[in-house]
Parts: sequence; structure tokens; C-alpha cells
Amino acid sequence: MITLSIDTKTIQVAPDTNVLKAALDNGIHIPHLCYHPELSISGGCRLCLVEVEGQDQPVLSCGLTAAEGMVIQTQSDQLKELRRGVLDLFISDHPLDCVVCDKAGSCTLQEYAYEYGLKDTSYEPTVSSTLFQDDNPFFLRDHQYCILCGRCVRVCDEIVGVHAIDFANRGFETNIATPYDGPMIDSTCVFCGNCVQVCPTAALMPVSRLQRGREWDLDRTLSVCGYCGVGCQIEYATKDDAIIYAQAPEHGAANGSFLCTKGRYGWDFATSPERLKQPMLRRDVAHELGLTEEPWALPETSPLDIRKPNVEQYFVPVDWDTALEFVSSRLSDITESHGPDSIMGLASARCTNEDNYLFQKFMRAVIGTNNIDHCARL
Amino acid sequence: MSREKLDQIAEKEQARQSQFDKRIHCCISTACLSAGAGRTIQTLRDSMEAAPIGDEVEVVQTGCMGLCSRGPLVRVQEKSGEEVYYADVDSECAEELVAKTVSWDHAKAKQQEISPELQTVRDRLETARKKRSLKKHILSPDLPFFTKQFKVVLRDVGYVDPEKLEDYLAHGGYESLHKVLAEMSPEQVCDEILQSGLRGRGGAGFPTGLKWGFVRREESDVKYVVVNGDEGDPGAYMDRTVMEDNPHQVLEGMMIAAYAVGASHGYFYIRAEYPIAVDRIRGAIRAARRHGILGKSVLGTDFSYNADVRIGAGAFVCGEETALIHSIEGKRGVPRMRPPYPSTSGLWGKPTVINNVETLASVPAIIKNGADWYAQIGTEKSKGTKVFALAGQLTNTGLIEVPMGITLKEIVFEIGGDVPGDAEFKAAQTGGPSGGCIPNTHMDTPVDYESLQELGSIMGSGGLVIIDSTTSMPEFARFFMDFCVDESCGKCVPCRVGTVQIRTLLDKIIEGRGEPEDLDKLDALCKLVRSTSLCGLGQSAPNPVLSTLRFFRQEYEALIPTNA
Amino acid sequence: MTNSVREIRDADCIFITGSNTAEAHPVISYEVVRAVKKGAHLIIIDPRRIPLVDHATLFLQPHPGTDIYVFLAMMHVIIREGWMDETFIAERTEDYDAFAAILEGYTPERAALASGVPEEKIIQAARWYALGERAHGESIYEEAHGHSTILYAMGITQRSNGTDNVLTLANLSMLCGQIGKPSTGVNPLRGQANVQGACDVGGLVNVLPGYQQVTDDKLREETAKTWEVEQLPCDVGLTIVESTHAALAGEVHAIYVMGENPMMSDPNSNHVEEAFRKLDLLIVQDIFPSETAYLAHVLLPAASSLEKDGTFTNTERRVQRIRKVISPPGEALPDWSIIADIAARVTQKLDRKPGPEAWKYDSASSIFDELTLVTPIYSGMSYDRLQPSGLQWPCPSETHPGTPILHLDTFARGQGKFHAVEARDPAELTDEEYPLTLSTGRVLYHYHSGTMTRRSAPLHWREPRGYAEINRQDAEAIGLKDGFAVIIHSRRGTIRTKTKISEGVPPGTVFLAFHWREAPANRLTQDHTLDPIAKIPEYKISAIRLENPRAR
Repeated sequence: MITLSIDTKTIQVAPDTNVLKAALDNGIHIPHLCYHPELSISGGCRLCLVEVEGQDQPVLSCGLTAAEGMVIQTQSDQLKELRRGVLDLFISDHPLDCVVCDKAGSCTLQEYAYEYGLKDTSYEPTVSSTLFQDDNPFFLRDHQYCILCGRCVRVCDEIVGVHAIDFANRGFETNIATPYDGPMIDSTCVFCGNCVQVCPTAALMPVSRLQRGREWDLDRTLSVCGYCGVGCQIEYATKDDAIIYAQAPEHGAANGSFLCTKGRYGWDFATSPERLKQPMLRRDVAHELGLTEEPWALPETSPLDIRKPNVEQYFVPVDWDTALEFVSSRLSDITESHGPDSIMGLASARCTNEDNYLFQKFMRAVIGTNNIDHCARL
Repeated sequence: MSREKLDQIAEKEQARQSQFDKRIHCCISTACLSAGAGRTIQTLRDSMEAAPIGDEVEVVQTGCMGLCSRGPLVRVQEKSGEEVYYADVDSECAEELVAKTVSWDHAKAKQQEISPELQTVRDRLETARKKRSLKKHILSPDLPFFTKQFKVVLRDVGYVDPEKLEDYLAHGGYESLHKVLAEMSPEQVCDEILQSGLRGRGGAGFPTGLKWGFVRREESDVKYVVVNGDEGDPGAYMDRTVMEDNPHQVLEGMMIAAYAVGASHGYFYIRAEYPIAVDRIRGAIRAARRHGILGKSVLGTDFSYNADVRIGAGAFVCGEETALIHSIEGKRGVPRMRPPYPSTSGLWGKPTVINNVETLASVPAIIKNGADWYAQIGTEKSKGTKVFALAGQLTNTGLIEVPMGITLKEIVFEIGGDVPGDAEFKAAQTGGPSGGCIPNTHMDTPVDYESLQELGSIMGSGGLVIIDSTTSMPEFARFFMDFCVDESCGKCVPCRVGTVQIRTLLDKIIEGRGEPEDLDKLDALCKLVRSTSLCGLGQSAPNPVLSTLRFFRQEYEALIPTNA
Repeated sequence: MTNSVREIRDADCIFITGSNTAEAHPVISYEVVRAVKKGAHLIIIDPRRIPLVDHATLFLQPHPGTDIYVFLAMMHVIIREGWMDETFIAERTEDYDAFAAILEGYTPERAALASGVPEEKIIQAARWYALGERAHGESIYEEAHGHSTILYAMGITQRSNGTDNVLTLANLSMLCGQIGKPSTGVNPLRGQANVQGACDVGGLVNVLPGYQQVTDDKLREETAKTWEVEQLPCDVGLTIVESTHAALAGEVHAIYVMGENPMMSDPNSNHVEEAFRKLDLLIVQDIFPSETAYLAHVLLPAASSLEKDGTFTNTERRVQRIRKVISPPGEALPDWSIIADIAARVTQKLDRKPGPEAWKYDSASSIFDELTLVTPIYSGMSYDRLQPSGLQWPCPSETHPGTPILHLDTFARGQGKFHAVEARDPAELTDEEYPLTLSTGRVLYHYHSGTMTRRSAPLHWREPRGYAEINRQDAEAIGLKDGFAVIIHSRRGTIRTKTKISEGVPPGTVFLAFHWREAPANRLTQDHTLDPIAKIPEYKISAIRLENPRAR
């Protein structure tokens, strides 16, 4: 371990740790826009300058490897002035329309402008790119907010490994683009949205989030993705009992701060109008029980061949008590007449441990069979 | 191929050359070519064919002779070694030159039957014999332009045929490479270069021997040497000239570096705007490979080395070493933070020496003549010579090589021959867009790394622009700011946005819309960009503005309406 | 997984086989990409050129069903060259000699002949894996050899010799000592959110919660005691596929399906449908009216995982909390609450002990607390302890920190057992009538039977309809071009879909995802030859024939 001092606090870090990470991990905040703990170092935002004892010039803490006995200052008038100057340049190329911006409240640039008391730029406001690209239903690219920190480029290449976007053009004309600036769908993009997650401004925004409320009005719930077995932790932002967007928490146990396209964007099935909302009995059963008047028989057509499935053609809604009474009496009858092993239970890899535990307990302890399986093999 | 065989080739070429009574060198480098050297050399050749010549004469195409403003340049070299330079040699002058400097065999003239075409040329030559204008074209060898120079890097430039390995060998080429391979350990080579005091000629002036030592001490299966030929300062063409006019000299320097650091492979990174340099370097690589100088067991030793050319795509920033590395790797040419320095993690993460063309071109002479010889040239901290591309409002412009420590005054008034016309010398700008302007009040300043830096400029790679009293300094500064805005890679915000805002302020001031506080604002912004930019390009981009603000603030103030 | 997801990034060599990681487990592929960017070698053995091959440093493409020859030959080479970890073999394993003897016959020459993979690639893979070699960069581990990890998924297991495949990979890891250390191990990537948990808590025919054999009287009695019931059934039950056979035979009369869609996901759909139609009672408890629902007698609306509390156990055995994010629609209820209600009613009707009161649970948390009593590997867990990052089982006590890496000092059974495994061919080989091999799987934008993802607007936009990936050569042979309709026949059934001409599949192989109800892949797959031990159907290999409808 290496011992160094940051703002008079003595800190121990592993070898090869950069000073910015050492500070952040120890609760000392140094402003930064291009640095991301999971990505390679860029050094483009020039904000994380610190003073190192024994060196004349301030240096970037993200690119500075902690060394034994190093003495670091993260706050000083000089540093404050330099950072303020750099932020002033950033906001000269960024619309200051925070009052209507969906990112307001979680925008890092806004946070720093506030911290450094920058109400406005002291330069001529000059927005370098006004490209507005809404070519997909996952995320929006609004280049006027882009500060070219390059996190999106790095996450796409270094983590996701598809390198769908990169810097195009140069200097003030630089922008982030797909090859030849074609539509996202024609690129290698997999719509995982990790670029959206690491974007510090409103340049990349989930489509689902637009005009859906201020950040500070959203509730956040930490849960786990319902798709594959990686078990990514997801933080859902909700308002009025509706999901506004989903993102990875800062430190997901298995997923760190990343997600895939299904986890990040595939939650809207929950509000599909096709959801089953009440218990239903098949029409022939309902007729049998005297709940409907018309007799009915299950059509020969395979469910796989029904062109436009309509559940109401097959089923009638009933109340829970009717449905459960039907289920429990039939199960009891069959158990008694054909024995417990004439009943099969299919548990589910998509249900919780609690659901599955009760399900198998029911099959084993109540019905009395080990005919309990699920789709682990499928 | 062994050393002996190369010696044989050299001797054979020397013998061939010594059979001529006269050799007429005609510069065909870019400046002379654009002044009409193509026609000149054609006329020389035609004339030689048509004239009834008594002497054995060879017309040789060579590289740059230096005084580019007076091109096309021709030099007549006698067997005795005596040389006469001719300037502004157009076709007519070339005819007169042939008619008067070459002895005529009148008997042969009478006997010979020639074609009507040649007869026309001969008739013209006869007429030319009667002209009296040649004298005006002769450049005196006593001109300060020649006497004040000291040539190490450019010694053979303008003499050797860049497309003939034999000629390079005849001039002692690859002797230094052989010397290091045969007599010196890599460590000794690094020490020798360190002792010589050679510093990086790309501009930063880092001691070359030290850099080589770092790479030599790195443990790695693969190391690289990269020649930085991405010369980009407006008006500067030192490196291009050396690559075009004596490519083997650069290759030899590169190979000595490779041996010294233990590299097995290297790249020439040359900008695409230098197609001739690319061709010549490629030609040199091919020739060297054919002769066993490059490849497996160089000159019959255990040392193996291969070199290749990579072409830049026109970004100024790719002259910055980390951006250059990215460019060779096929990535976007943007700089990255250092450390790690290329000496520990360079091309493809391997230890890499990156040296400027001129730096490496200095190496063979240092090895040949010894570190002490080199170290006695120049000043205490800046050893050796420096090549400058002298440009701007000056009588003699062109390519010069001077010992370090020469004063600006000597360059401007003696070598450069003063500002033409009624105007006066106002300032000298060194280091291109990264440099600053040195006012005439400081013209006694010795030209060395430290002195220039004290004045807010830099040595730079060798651009030297002379400004006379008719030039507006704010506009001059804006020109370079435009350049930096265009060439900023866009990675870091101070350079990407800061340069644009500096230019906006300059526009405002120059257009007469400035406010009194704008000058302080400009100064503060420049200093912010200088102290917060990621790479050398951004850090030095404000220099032209800062140095003009420092020395010519009154010109800025005059543009502010309330001050007017 | 024997090891944890976040260790993959530090591996020196990653060996992936039978897993289309970037599409089926994208977040794990991120770990792989990170490792490769740092210099790890990535060896991929797969009949398809899966997307992750772009990052691979070595790609072996065996003919479908022949990968086991490659694995065996790798071990043959490792022993021949002395690259094995003799200390590990001596101290931690048993039955090595019999295993090694069998390998003698599995030379790289033989494997090359069987699989089409060049010998030198097999040797290269063997070396890199055994010695944990890197492409560049430095290992974070200080031992002489680097750390190699094996990742696999259903491409290995959904085969008539799936168990053999898995045992072979386990043999490989033990042979090289690449297990029981960080960034090593044998790591099945599990396909569904809680497939691990469903197994852990007893959702299997042969085990009670915590993998306690139903045939073990003592264990069974202990559980019965905790549950306060007189006895528990002692015979191993029927698996899914067996139960459809049994239903057709009139032995099974009722099936209670919770959150599954066997009509889409089980092999030989026509056969499944026939069985389900014969049932006296089919209960479907789901969030959507799935394809299976249309054969049910009753539908019970369940809350989705976004709408309830509970726990999921992921592929690295990490038990994590899921929380109610939004309310369930209409009258939908959490599955546990529906089950508890049914159980109470059936208890009453059948007069079972200890009576309906025992089925009153007020929260998921109270169920979890009971679950930990009967599931030894979960004993030390509680909802409080699962904050914020969960715990990896085994976690036997309240102070135990969980187990990120299995088999650190000793294997679960003591010594690691080498299984002498021979290569076997797939059950259904191609012939003149069915000359091509069909492999099924997933695409990136959809999940399983598509019930959820196909109702997600953005995912649907990106991948609206199904297709069969066909090599250009096979397509052109019958005049098919990209996007053409194609009919696929197998001995079980016929489907119609569109083509996607792809160099990702080799000639002779067709790939079809099973998300598409319009072209249900499982009408083609076979259910007659299961893996004899794991009872897994051979989804990855079915003999098929293509037909161009325009040529009719």
C-alpha cells in the first residue's frame, strides 16, 4: 500500500492508483467530467487539477499516480481560478437552459457551475454543434449539450466492445458520430445505453425520460433485472407509479455501473395493455360452472398458429375467490382420485426464491409429489 | 553486405566523379523547382549536348543550396574543389553559364555534324557567349549568407544526389553506422550523444542522449524508433529538405538510434503533403535494404533492423509525439497525457524513441567527429547547430544552418541581408504558431533554447519569420490563432474552446469593437489556455498573442476605440 | 459459477465455449472485453462465429456436436507436453490415471478430423489455457502461471451428451489447476434471472431446498419436521419433458404452470400441445396470456418482478433483493401470495397438516426467513444482510461473508474427481433427407419465449421479427437470398420464417432463435433423446431440411 496525504488527510491506496481515484474513494471531491472510474484516462476536461508539493505547476490528478509520501492539495485559490476558467469555457459552448433541461438536477456540468458560482459565461456564447439526432426509440443525441468528454466513446469501445461511435472532425468542429454520421441502427450500436449512463450532461438522454418530470421529483428503487442470470442491479426512476427510466447503480454487485439493452430499456412490457389483470376461466369451464350461458369448446387451432391472439375469446374474467376455489378443488379432486404423482408443478426461473420455495413446498408438503421442475434446462 | 563492399562502391563512385573537370550542380528542391529549376536543368542538359565541349562535365541534380529566395540555384564545382554559385538561373542564364564556364573545342565544333535542333541550341549558345549578364548572377562566396553559416546537418545537402545511395556512400555515408556497430556498445553510443549535448530539434530541446538512455534501459522484447517528419509550422521546411535531399542521412541517424536503444523496427512518420520526401525516404529504405544496410544482420553484424514509412493525414497535432503514436497505430491522432512517456510506453505500448528528423540527421556527424567536436559548437547549454527556415520580409530568405548562440541581429542583418525597402525590422517570430515574437529591441539575444524561452518564445522546430514595420502585430497574432483554431484536435476544452474565444476577442479588437477591459481578459484567457491545455500545441497556442501583447501592447491599445 | 463475474476482467486467458456471451449475457461480455483490452487471451470454441469472436485471439470452429473431441484433444496435448498442474492433481484430485488413460486415444489429429479444427489451433488453445498465457500486458497474479477461466452456457449443456461436456470442462480445469483461485474456474452462465435460485430452493425433481436429496431419509425428515408435516414424498419426480410424455400416457392429469411458457420453450412443441390438450387441469399463472395460456383451464394474473418484493439468485450464486418498483396492474398478485392462498385451500380440502394457518405469510421477507431454515446454503442470510450487494452462497452462518469462489481449499465432495469421459455423437445426425443441422438460441434484443421483450416497444423496434441465419452457400443451393421466405422441416414439424444470410453460421448449419411465435423453433427440436443424467433436451442439434417456397 502507498501512503499519501490529500488535503492533510492521510490516505492509503493500492499501487498504481491515480490520485483522483484515491481522493474520490476517500470522500474528497475533485471536480471532473471526463474521468470515469471504469474507463481509461482521457485527461481532456482539465478540471481535476491539483497541487503537488514540490511541483511548480498544477497537475491533473486523474493522470497522476499516487506515490509514497506525496502531498496533494485539492483546493486553493489558484486551483479554484483555473477550474473556474475552464468551466467558463465549457459553458460558453453549452446552452444554459437548465430551467427546461431534463437533466437538470443530475447534470454534472450544472453542479460544477453552481459550485463555482458561474451564472453565465464571461465569453461570447458559441455553441459548436446543434446536431439533433432522434433516430431510435432508445436514446436521443442532442449535440448542443455535448461537452466532448468522450466517456461515451470509451464505454462503447472499452466495455461494450462495439466501438459504434467515435470523435469525428476536429477542434471546435469535433462531434461524436457513428461512421459517416449514419443512423445508429446502421452502426454496430447494440443500444445498451451505457453511453447514456456515463454522459455527464443532457447530450445523451433516454427517450422515455423526456418531459417526464424533474430529476428531484423522481423516486428511485434499487432492484434486480428480470432477464438473464447475470443479476444486474438496476435503479429504476419512477414517478406516479410509472417507470421513467432505468439505469445501473454506481456499484452494482455483478454489473458495476453497466447494463445491457434489455435491462435498461426492456421494462415497458410491464405496462403493456396485454397484461393479465384479473383471474380468468376458460369459456368451457365457465359454462360448466354456470358462469356463462354459451357452451364453448377449445378450438383445434394450435396456440402457436393463432394469428391475433385475443384472450377474451377463450376466457371470461372471474373474481379471485372463484378462480382459486376452482383451482383448489380441482387439484384436491385429482390428488384424491389419481394420487399426488398425477399432478405436475412447473416452477419458474423468472419468479423469486420466495415464489419458488412456496411453490415446491406446496407440491411436496400439500400435494405430496416431487413432480416439481422448472425451465433450468431450457 | 560487408563494410568492404560498401567501401568499394564508395571508391568507385568517387573515382567516377573525379574524372569530371567540372560538375554542375543544379538545385531541384521544391523552392527552386517552383522558381523554374525544371527548365533550368533541362536547358543545362540540352546545352551540354549541343555545345562542342572540351571538358568532361557532369550535370548533377541536387538538393537545397539554401538561398531559396534566389533560386533556381546552380553551383559549378571545379576539379580543384573551387565552387561558384549562380543565383536566379533561368534558361537564358543557364545557356550563358554553359557557354562561358565550359571550355569550347572549336575544332570539334567544326568537324561535328549535328542535327538541326541541336544546331539551333548551339546557335543560341553562340549568342549567349556574347552576353555579359552572367556576372550579375554570381554569388560571392564572401557573402555573410554563406560565411555566417555552419553546416553540420546540411553539410551534404545540395551536394549529394538524394536518389543515389552510391553518392551518399561516396560522401562518407554509413561510416558512422559502421563505427557504432563495430566499435561501440549501445551504452557508449547513448553516452556519446549525451556528451555531445545534442537536444531535440523538434522544439522542446530535450537532451537526446538522455532520451535514448531511458529507452535503452527499458526491458522489452520489442522497441521502436520513430522519426517525426510531421513538420507542420507554416513556412518551415527544414525537415522536409533533409528528408528530400539527403534521405540516407536520416536513415543512418535512425539506425544509430535503434542500435543505441535496442530497437528492431522503426517508422518514418511523414506528412502526406511531403510526397517527394515520402518517395525519397522509401527509395532510401529500398536501396539500403538491397545493399544489406537495412534488414537482417546490418553490415554483416548481429544487429537487425527494419524501417517503414507511415504517412500522416495532415493534422498539425500529429507532430505531438503521443498523437503521432496514435496515428501510426491507426487511431485518431489526438495526444494523450504523459506520463507514461513514449520511452516507457510508446508505439503499441512498447518503449519508443521519437526523434525529429533534424535531430537524427545530426547524429552521423557527431559519431564521425566525436562528441567533443560537436559540443564546442554553440553555447553552454545549447550545443551544435540549428537549421532555420528563414522567411518573411527579408532580402535573403531560405534555409540556413547556424551555430547555436548566434544573435538574432546577425541572422537578420547579415545572413538575411536586412529588410528590403524602406521598412524596418520590427520583430522576429520563432517557433511557428507555438512560438512568440521577439521585438527588435531584443535583437542581441543569442538564439538558444533558454534565451528564447525567457522572451516568451521557443526555439521551435526552426521556423523563423521576420516581420517589418508595416505589419500589424494583432493581425499577425490572429493569423497564428486561426491556425491553432483549425489545428486544435478538440480533445481538451482549453484548446478547443479557448482558442476560439481568443480569436473572437482578437476579431473584436481588430475590428474596432474592443473594450478597455478586453486586453486584460485576452491576457487572462491566454494564460488559462497555456496553463490548462493537455498537450504542447494547446499550451503554446497563446504564445503569439501573449508575446505580442507583451512587446506590442500599444498596438492593441490603439485599436480600442476609447483609447484611440 | 464457481467464481464471480467481476473476476473475469482479471483473467489472463478466457476460454468460452457454447456461450454466445455478447448476446445472451451482454454484461458478462463486458468483463471479457475488458480483460482482452488489458491483454488476456480469448479462446472461443463455437460452431458459430458469434459476435465476441471479434475480440478473440483464437477462434476454433468445430462442426456442430464435435466440440468434445477438441476438449479431449486439448487435454491430450496438455498431458503430452507436460503443461498440467501436477501438484494440484496430486493433492486435490482423484481417479486421474483412468481419466488420463482414456485421453491417449484423443489425439489432435483425430480431433481435427472429427471437428474440422486445425491441429495447431487445438495445441495453441491447450497451451494458452493450461499456462494462463496472455497476449500482452502483465498478470495481476503473481504465480508462475496465469489464471484461466472457462465460461460456458447452453451450447454445452443442451446436448444429448451435455453432462459429459460439463464433466470434460471440469476435468480440464482440474488438470491445469485452473480452479479454486480467483479468475479461474468452470463457470456456467445461467440464462434466466432466477434459474439459480429456483434450483437452490428446491424447484427440481430430486432435491429439497439447498440440494438435499429427496431420497435421503434423514434430510427429508428434517425438512418435514420444520414444515410440520408428517412426511414428504421420497421418489424422484418427473421432469418437464418426462411429464409431457406422462400426460400423453394418462399418468399426469394436472399441470400447474407458474411463469413458464412450455409451448414455446419445450422441445417438440406439437408433442407438448398434444399432451396439454389431454390434461384435466392446466393452470397457467403468468403476467401475460402466453402461448401456453391458450390451452389452460384457468389463468391467474401474477405480478411481474418489477411489481413485487423478493430475492433472485444470480449466476454467481449471489442472492440479491428485488423490490417493488411499480404496482401490479389490475388485480394481479405476487406469485407467492397466489400460491399461499391455493395451498391454504388445498390443505383445508385434503385435511393436510399443519392446517391452512401455516400458509399465512404477510410478506416475502417472512417466506425468506422460513426458507433459510431449510436451505443450509442460505442459512446465514436475511433481508437485512442482503443490503446492498447481496450474499453469495454458501453462507452457512449469520457472520459468514458469503462465498465468492468455490473449491478454494477443498472440493465439495473432498477430492476433485476426474471422470473418464468418451466422445459421443449427437442423437440426431444429418442424413440425406435432413442434411442440415439446426441450432437454437437467443438474439441480443429478445429473451426466451419473447413474452416480455416482444412487448417492449424499443426492443421490438430494433428486432421486430424472426429469421433463420443461413450460410450463403446453403441458401444459394436452393435459390434463397437474404430476406426471402424459407420453410424449415424436421422430423417433428415445419415452420416458415425469413432468411438472414450470414457468414456467422458455417455451411451446413442453420441458426434460429426461439423467441418467435410466428416461427416457433421448438416445433423442430427433438424430445426423444435427453441427456441421460441432466435430462436436458438436445436443442442445439436437430437435423433439418430447408425448402424455398418460391420453388414450389
